[in-house]
Amino acid sequence: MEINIPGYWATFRTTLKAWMAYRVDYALVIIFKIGLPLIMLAVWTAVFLNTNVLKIGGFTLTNTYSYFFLMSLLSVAIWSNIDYTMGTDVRHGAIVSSLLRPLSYPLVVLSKALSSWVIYFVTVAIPLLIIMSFVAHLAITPYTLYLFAIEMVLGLILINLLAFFFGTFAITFIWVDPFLSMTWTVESVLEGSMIPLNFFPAYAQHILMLLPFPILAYLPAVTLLGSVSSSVILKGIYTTALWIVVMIPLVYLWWKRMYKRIGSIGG
Amino acid sequence: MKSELYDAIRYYLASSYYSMKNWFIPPFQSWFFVVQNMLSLSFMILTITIIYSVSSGIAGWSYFQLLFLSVLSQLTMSISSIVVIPQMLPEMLREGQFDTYLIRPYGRLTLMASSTGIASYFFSFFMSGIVILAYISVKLKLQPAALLGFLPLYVLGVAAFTMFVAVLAVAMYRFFKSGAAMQQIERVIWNLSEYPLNVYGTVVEMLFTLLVPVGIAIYYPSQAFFGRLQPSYYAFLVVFSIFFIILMYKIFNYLMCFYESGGG
Repeated sequence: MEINIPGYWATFRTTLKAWMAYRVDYALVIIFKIGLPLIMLAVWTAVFLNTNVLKIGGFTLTNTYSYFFLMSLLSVAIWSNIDYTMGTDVRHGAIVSSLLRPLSYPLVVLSKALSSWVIYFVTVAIPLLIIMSFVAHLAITPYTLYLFAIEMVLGLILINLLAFFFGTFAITFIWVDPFLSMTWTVESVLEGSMIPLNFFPAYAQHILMLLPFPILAYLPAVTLLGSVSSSVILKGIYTTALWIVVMIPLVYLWWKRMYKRIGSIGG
Repeated sequence: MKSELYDAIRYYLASSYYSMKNWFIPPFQSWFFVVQNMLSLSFMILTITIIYSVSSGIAGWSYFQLLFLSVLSQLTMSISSIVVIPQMLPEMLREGQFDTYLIRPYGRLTLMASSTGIASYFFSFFMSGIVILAYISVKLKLQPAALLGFLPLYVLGVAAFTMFVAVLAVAMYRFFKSGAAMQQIERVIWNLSEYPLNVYGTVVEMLFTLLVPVGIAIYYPSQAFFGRLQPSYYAFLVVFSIFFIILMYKIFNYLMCFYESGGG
């Protein structure tokens, strides 16, 4: 099977141009995206002040500040809008015209998602990481940066797989925006962006670390904070890699099944 | 005037009736909505449970009081969805989908509520969340009399919040011709309203009461329910809510004048 690289590259560039056309709107998306974890920062500050203890779940108030600022960074460093794109495509019938092109639809939505991701990563995530490395007392060494880079790559693959899977629900249910909001809520708890996973009871932490979600927020954050051992981080990386290996064929088979159900009344 | 209002309500109810009928037609759609609401609620409860299991929680708020506030936040968002889905409206306006509605003899607000609101959200929440709200009220030993203080402020607050969301959605269309940010903005407002406004500091509390009426829709009605609101402040909030609703209604109609037909 030949992959039409120029076709996907054109999709990538077109998405960049579309982003420039609605740049103020997308700037608002970024502002509210990185602002979301700061809500939990305010909540946990109130909790610390009321509890009057130095540490909760092994985190001091300073660690908690750094953790939630890192969540702001990670919210634009590891994310995907494939689900939202697929929801819009199905609702507008645009999926049909996409399927007529000599391009694979999953790769088209991936090209669009990566284009948006590049914008967020370059314009927001990298500057935030540089600022935070000076003000948030991060444990940045070549080794932690290396681990962080691996986590970023695995996290991106995983979030795109998950988003693609959730996006296919639009084929059956058409209007999936509330469903997508629900998946974000569930993910935000399981990945540790609402509550650091070390605040959970020990047994729950063990279960959560076996799931694929910690790589999306908790693991990269504690890697940069240097608050857990390398063995825990490596175990998390191997677990995620295993999940990805299992998920790729399953998501592919799921797409093949859902593909047959796509219907449109003219697009 | 009276007859116009009567006609508008009749038209809106008829639209909602068909929206609700649609809800029952696809075999999974209804349960899909219920399950997603239950999951959102479960994770909200889990978050608050974790907070109270590792700490003393938020000053002045017991576990069940905070739970009440969070569930009320979800209820408010569901009620608001009956009138307007903010992500949907800018998209509809940009693509000219409002043309066919505007030829109908009703006000712009009625037409918007009939075209973008989805009553089934509220029904889904009702099936999943109302039991939890009732359970919390029993746990808190809340007296039915407390409802007398709560309900008027809550109803006005929800109306003010819904009007604000509608204005925001139309403003997004007017100024940016796009509504990509609406889902993210809604998510921030939702998350923020799940916790007491005073944890964010005085500036945010004022901002989210006077400019974004999350306070008058969720936070202060909860305070009234728990008997913690001064009568003078309560009276101020009632008057302010009415003023806010009228102001938002005027702004909504003004912004809708900028609607350009897309030929759809």
